[in-house]
Amino acid sequence: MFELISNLALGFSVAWTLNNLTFCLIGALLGTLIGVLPGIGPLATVAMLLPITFSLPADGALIMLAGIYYGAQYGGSTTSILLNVPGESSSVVTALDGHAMARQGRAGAALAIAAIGSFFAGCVATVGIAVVGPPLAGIAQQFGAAEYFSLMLFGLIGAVVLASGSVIKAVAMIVLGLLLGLVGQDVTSGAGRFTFGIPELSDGIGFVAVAMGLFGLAEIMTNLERARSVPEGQETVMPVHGLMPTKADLKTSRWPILRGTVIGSFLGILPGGGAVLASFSSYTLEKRIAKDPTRFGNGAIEGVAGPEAANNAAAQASFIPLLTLGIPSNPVMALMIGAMTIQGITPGPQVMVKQPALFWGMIASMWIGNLMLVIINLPLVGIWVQLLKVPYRFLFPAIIIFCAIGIYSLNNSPVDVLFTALFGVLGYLFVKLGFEPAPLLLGFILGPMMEENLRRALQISRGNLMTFVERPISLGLLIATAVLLAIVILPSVRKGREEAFQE
Amino acid sequence: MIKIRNQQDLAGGLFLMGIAALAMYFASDLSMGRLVRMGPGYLPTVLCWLLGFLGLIIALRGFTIDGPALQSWAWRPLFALTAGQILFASLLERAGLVAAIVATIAVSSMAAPNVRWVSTLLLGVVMSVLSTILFIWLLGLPLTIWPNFG
Repeated sequence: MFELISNLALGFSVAWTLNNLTFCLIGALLGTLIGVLPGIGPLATVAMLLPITFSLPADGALIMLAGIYYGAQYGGSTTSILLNVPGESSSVVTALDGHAMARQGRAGAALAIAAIGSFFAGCVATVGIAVVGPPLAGIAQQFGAAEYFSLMLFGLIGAVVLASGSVIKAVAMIVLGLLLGLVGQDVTSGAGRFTFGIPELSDGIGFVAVAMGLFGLAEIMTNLERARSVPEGQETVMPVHGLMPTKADLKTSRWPILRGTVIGSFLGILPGGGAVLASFSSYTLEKRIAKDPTRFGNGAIEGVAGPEAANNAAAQASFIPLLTLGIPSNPVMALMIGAMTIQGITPGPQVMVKQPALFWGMIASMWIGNLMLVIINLPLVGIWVQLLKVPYRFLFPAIIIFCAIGIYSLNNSPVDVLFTALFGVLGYLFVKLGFEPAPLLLGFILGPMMEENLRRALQISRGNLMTFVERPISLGLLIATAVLLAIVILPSVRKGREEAFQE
Repeated sequence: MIKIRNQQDLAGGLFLMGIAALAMYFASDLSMGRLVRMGPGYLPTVLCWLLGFLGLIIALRGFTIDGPALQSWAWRPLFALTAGQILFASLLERAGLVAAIVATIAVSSMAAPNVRWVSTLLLGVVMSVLSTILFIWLLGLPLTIWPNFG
């Protein structure tokens, strides 16, 4: 207990500097600014804004990225409530009752409850990270190469099983991602792999180019395609009068927020869990235990409060596996790993031991960032509303220019811009063929780490593959992976899962 | 007569098999090594087989499980945005930031139907000014603003 307080105190002393507070504020603002744009979810937002953090010191960069992430999350909710255009799947649920409330002239109350719910959930989840982090990292420090390999395999498969869509196609995307991750000079032998004599490729394909192409560019392409059937201009933005929720609103929302927080905190830790699953589960639960379920979909405030708390708690909790094990539980966390690597930090349990200031500073900044979101975003909601009225045909070229300059500035290399274009085309192709690109990114980021651990494990065991099943932790993780795979392949479960995602 | 029941899966599976075959070809001159000391070609080869196998299953599913047909492609956004990026990459260092931005915006704007040239040009000017202030003056990126005729 005492250690927890002293750790948090260290964290606040790092986060509470003028520089880091500014980075946190800029991150939360920029994240909201981009995240509020219709059709751009947190993943695309983080991918687009990554380059601006790279010139910052490590703690500032990660604090800003975290701010961008939950800012984008919150911006997405604003768009769903006011415009009924969910930026990404975790806000789909918010749009159901949030937009219904906005149509009844209660947009302000919906926005305020979303902010309050998110803030509460964020506070709880932040303390959760501080409590669960150290023991988990302690366990992970005993991991050898074999355990790490199995853990990454478990993380990859888990992320696929819990996400929506066809499992076999997602597994194929992981394998393709792993393969792309191997491009570049082989660390051990120095041989160039798939480099085709292009010097820029010897360091591998830049992960920002992959992420920005697959998620940024491809998303804009599909948005434009969809926009052809929608009338131009966004006149349907709902007006916001008065932000204060009534006493009755607060009273009805109390328990849903609490339940959402609990659901989100647990699901966020699971690989692949994250915000989407959390908000869906919370909505389903609230609807099921409500006295009058027919109110849902017609502006029930519980349908905003619960899911919003759940998705913020999950977003926060997904930092737990990242910070303690070095394993991304969703694609946004995979981008965080990439950002850490660029800053010269190897994600994993040693971060907490070797750089406690960075670790605890980041956790403290999450809490500060959540507070900032509440105090800044509610008064600023008028600006976001104006932004929603800017026609898309002005927005997308501007976004594209910022992306291109950002990509170029990473290595001052035009080739990186070309790779973004290539991955944009690939991303569009995947959309057209019904493949989710997110697992590809996970595989791409984890590929080099998995290979390194696989090689090391086999070197230690003198080429004996049994090492993975002879070590108990590794065996346990492999069994868990097999069980997960078996579960989704069994027909009866598969049917239930499809129904769950239909809902 | 065999009926294709899921065009997306068939096409997707074939696409993955093609990538696997191509990657296998390019990995063929990398040394494999053995399990105890893997060469640079070991994992790529294993992954290519796996990818090809998964591609095959996905393609075969195209004959057994009903699914969506191939959708038409929106060529306009695809071409305009890709061309915009290529233009930006090739112009930036030779012609400077302003020319690259204006050209990229002009080409990318064609992604949306009915381009309005005046407002597009205006957007190009605004973005040039903003980017010059933000990226060159404030962030100090080593970019040139105007073409270098020297």
